[in-house]
Amino acid sequence: MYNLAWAVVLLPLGGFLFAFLPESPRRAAQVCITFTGAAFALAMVVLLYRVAHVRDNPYQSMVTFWTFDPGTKLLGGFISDFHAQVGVVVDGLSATMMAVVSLVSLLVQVYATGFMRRDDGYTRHFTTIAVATFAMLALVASPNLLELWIFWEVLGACFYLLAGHWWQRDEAARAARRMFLFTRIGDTALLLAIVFLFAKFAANVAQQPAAPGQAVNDPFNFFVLEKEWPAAMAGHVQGSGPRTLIILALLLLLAAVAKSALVPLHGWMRGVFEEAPAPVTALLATVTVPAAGVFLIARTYPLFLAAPHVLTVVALFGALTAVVGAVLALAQHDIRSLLAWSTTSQFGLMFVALGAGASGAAIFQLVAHAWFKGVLILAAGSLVTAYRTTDLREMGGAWQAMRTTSRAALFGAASAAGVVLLAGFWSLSSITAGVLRNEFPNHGHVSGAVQGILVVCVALTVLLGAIYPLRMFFRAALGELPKRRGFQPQRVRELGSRVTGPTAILAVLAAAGGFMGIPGVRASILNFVYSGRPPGTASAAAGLAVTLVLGVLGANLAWALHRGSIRLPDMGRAAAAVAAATRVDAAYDWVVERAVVRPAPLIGRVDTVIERDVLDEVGRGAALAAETARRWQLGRVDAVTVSAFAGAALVAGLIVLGATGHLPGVGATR
Amino acid sequence: MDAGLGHFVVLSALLFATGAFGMVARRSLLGVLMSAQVMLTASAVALAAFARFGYGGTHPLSGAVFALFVVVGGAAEVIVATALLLLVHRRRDTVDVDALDELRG
Repeated sequence: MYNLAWAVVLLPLGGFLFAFLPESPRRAAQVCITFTGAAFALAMVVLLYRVAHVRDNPYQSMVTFWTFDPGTKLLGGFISDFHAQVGVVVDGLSATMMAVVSLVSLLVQVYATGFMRRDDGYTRHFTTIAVATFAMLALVASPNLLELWIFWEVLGACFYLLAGHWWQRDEAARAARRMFLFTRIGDTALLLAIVFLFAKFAANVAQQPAAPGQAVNDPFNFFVLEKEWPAAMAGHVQGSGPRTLIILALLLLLAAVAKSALVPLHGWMRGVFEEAPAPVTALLATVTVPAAGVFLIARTYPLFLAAPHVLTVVALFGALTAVVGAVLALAQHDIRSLLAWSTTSQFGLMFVALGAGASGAAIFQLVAHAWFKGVLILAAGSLVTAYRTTDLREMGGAWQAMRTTSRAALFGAASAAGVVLLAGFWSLSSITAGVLRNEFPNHGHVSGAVQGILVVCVALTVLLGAIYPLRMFFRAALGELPKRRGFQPQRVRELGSRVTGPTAILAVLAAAGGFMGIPGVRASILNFVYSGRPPGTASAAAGLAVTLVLGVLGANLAWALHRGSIRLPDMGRAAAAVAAATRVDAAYDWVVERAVVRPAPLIGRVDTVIERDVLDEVGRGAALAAETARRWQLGRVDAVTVSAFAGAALVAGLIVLGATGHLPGVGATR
Repeated sequence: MDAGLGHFVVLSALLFATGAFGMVARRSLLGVLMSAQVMLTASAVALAAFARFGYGGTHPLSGAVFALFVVVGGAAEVIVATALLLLVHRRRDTVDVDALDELRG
């Protein structure tokens, strides 16, 4: 049953390939959707089977695509017998992620058939989404770090294409480039981590007895490394110790920080939200690029548990990001910027959960966030199209004009705000509980002072996080119709069932999807994705209570803000100051501007010189040679015959000379 | 004086030279074709002579068999070449090889 995971991973790639068969873009989109839908169906089968067999060991299936067998063990086995493998692994984490990724991709593609109608790059849009889905599925199913890295890069390339879908606009091209360059920082860190890991652990791994069914131990395999990391901490791996683990963990953290847009590398997120099509944003911000960062840490969690103090760094990065994102989201009037900052904030919360030892809560939040942020982004896409503006202050009255979208947005916003019993409530409370409990699966914990900071930051984020999505909903749905010039109220209407359908489905999940993580249930996602100890009931109850209070308080504040009975202090300048203070990316821009953008024309100039002075000369020489040789072709039978005889005579003469020993160095056998 | 191997080889060489000269010098396609046949005959004579005087080859008849093959190959060549010649004549109304210079560069 588990080998269906191969099909889950490969089906979207099949969709990409078969989408080129039909000529009509509509058919191409249908092919992509069909294949992704099949992948989702099989992913659900795998997930349900896994849920029914929670106690199974992780299932692994690998194909070796490159072998290195030096025959002898070089350097004490340091580089002996390396087999590069790709494959699939099915455990709680990958089964959950595969189901969520394929479902969101499916819904987003259906939405895009309506939203991207009459777009020039229709086929390109769908085929690239298919490859991106394939890359993300392969990434979450990777049994080893090497494969994970390959698809990490493929994912980045796909989203460069997707974010720059409207590349004819300068801003879109710039946003895509920016995201690509920013995530390159993380890619580089991940590559360094891979090299470092190989250098430090390959020799030790090679000495271990190979796993059953495996010719050679893969030094990148997560389940091999799971045992190596604690051994290194205990001093059983020669040449590795706590410092090795700290460096390795920090490199992986840097990779995740860049991919998940954490402070200070968060600069790319907002541009993508503002310039990419809504379906792309929905796919990117929920289950792919930033989610890959969270997934990386969840997958290598044994390393973070083994390495001392790194989880504190993870949590503090997350806490800073969560608060900064929430404050900035509150200050936005642009609906897309608001959602961008809110996404940044939510991913910060996931890192807090990881850092506090609650990796199950982080993945739960990832899933719940996919539902409610998916609804909000898709609804925002519809709103922006209908109102022809991105400014929330110029929207209003959608409750009557766009009934499905506004009701879906209500559920999304309420779920994001942590209103009782909706999905966001359960996931936020599991994070709160994790921070209050502060215990790693291996009985470690972050220090009391750090825990205090985390508790304050999480509480603040949950409170602010309850205000801004509801405020956005109140403004767009319940506010008065805008009174700007040239506004035509009759144009505010739904984009059709293909757009509202997926939005509504996600809204249902955002409302009811929390059942999977109710604390105390044995098969809850909190225990399912990482087989550590389940959080205790005391902290779970405290988490629920805190989230409940903060959610209600936040919702009331949002309502009061909407009614105007309290006013937000004008945060324009303060927000700008916070944004500027946290923008390391400005320095990065400065470097990129001078190191890449400005020298680029220079490359062009060198290119021109080479073309004119070298390649053109070569071309002229070749033309001359061809012209000369051409004249030798007389086209006369007698000339051809004579030259044939002359050649034969020459060969015969040489043979005779050679055989009689008159030719130096040839054949004088006698 | 008996005819030895040398006589046959010289005969063969003369025949071949005749054919080669004819092939270059004749302008009519028919003449060129006949010259090619003369050259084939020259090679057949050489093969038969070597077979008769037992040079080379592991079987006494191998040279003769090769000569037979040359004759058969020559017959086949005549058929194909004659067909081509007829076609050229029908299309161009000439059999002058100098008129056929499509391959000039």
